[in-house]
Amino acid sequence: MLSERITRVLTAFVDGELSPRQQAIVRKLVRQSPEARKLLEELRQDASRLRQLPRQPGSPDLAANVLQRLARPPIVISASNAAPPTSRRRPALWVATAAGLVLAVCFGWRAWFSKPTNSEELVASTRPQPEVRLPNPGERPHEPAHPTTPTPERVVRVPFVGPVLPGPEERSPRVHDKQPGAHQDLAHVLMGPPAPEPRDEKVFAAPTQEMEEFREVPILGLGLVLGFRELSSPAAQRRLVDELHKADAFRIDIRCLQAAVAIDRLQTAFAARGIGFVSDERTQARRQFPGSETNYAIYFENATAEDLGAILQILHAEDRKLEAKRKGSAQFDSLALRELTPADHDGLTKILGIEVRPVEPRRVKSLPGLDPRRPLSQRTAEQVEQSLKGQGPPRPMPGRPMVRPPDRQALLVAYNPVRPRPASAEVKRFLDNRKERSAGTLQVLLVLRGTKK
Amino acid sequence: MNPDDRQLIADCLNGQTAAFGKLVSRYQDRLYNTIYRLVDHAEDAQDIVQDAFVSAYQSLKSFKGDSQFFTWLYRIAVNTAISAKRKQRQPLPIQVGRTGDEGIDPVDPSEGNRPDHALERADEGRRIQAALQRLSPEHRAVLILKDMEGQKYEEMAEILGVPIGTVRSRLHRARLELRELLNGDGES
Repeated sequence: MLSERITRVLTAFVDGELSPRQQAIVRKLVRQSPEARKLLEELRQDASRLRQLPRQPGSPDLAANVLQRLARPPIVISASNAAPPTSRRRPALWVATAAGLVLAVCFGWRAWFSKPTNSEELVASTRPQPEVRLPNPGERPHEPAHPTTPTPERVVRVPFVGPVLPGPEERSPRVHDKQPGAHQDLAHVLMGPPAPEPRDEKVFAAPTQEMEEFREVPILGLGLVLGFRELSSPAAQRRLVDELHKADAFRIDIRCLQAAVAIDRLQTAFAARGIGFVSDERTQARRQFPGSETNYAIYFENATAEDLGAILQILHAEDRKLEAKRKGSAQFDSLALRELTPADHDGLTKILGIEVRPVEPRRVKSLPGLDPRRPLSQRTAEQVEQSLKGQGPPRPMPGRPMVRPPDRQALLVAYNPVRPRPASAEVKRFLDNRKERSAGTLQVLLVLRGTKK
Repeated sequence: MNPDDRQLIADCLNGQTAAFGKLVSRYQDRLYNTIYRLVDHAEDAQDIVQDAFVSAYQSLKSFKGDSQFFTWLYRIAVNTAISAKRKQRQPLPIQVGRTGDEGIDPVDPSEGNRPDHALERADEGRRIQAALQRLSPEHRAVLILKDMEGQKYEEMAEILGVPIGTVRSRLHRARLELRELLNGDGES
């Protein structure tokens, strides 16, 4: 039985931490002691076996996951935006001083937030769409002029949606202001060389400069706000029809539970109306990457109000079916519809990274089957109503959409946190291949926002 | 400290955060391998490594540069892994890796393409891995750092946050304990 002193020397020999003199002593020892020699040989073999264990490579997504976590924007609250949310929920003072305007805003606001939601998540703002200053991919990282001088910028008051990851030494959003460059540039520059796998770059492309907080929905101005459940009622259907006839260009924001699920159902609903989706590479990668939280935008110019009504009805009908099977499984919550503004048009240009010039609808002199004595809008309204009531053309059964080869296309792009590459080939091709718009068709920007954490 | 790492850290602290991406790429595989051997669970290892990098980024300003960046990073990750293992009531069984059989190395053509040789090595690898997992987290850590990572006593002491004498003691006990486990497993 070897003493502990000897076994310590033997294990240290295996560790390779003995001086040459000490090693010589051990060699002499093992020459003299078969037991020590045997133990030393066994210990060396054990160490060798450990060294020979195969090296386990990390997941190819490991670096990208780290970078994605670090790229999540932290909460940045500036003094001007620091009003507590509760103040917005007590409009009494506002009502007293500007009763008409506040009532209109609150009505739209409450319609939007009619469902019980986490109030901390959904902070409606009456301010103009704020901007988050993030550099474009490839842009040189912003060097702060002075570590304690925050870069002037308009900041988004964002509710907390995930782990706060301030930059080095930061422990509060205020500290972040001292080094605005420390993490603001993180989003795009972390994806710099060494470049990750191409597919990783598409999925984890740098968050766009215009990135919004996922669940924050800005007040879009007066328009139509409808819960999807309301689509069952004729009154809501009439309101939708009326709104769709006020203009020929609209923005629709749809709130849903999970954008990843909802976008698939939207695609099916669009396909049922003969409209296929065209996506860029980044969007396709995001859709295929499990767990990526993404909001989407769909742009199309050649759908009628009837098409829109039918699509919404398909979504609603399927939700009802799912809800009947299991409560809480409906995907679509509400929609906000309003006329597309010049600011939206600029936003669309930023989303797609390329100037979008809508194709003007051709002028209609007469259409076969159209009674010229009846205004087109009325006829369209009737068609939409019939469609919504189920008396129109055959609608696809929920879950089993009618298969129609797509004769029209809609552009689907990731909207948040990433955007298509500026002037991506797919976007350009979509825009270049647009056909002449039929009369009565609408230009629509549809934004899909998931609300589930 | 490695001058290259020093420069990358300095760049990162100066706002050039692309530098941290380079550090991640540089050390992720090595760190993952160590942590994986510690926790014997691919997903846990991935989480620990990710957390370690995130924590390192957040504490980058506190890194004094008087040791290797990797040592400092190791410390964060290894301590997290040890803590995680301590909380487990029972040691995990050997888990098959994502790619299939763990421990099966590519066939060595120099040995005349002997399939049985690869299987032998795979079997041996599983046995040593099983024995490794039966050690305490502290003993497992020192063996992995010493034999698999080739760390010196001083580096291990810094990683584990213990004196060098403690490292020597733990290695001594860990080697003997591993030997006993392998002996009890029928090995000669």
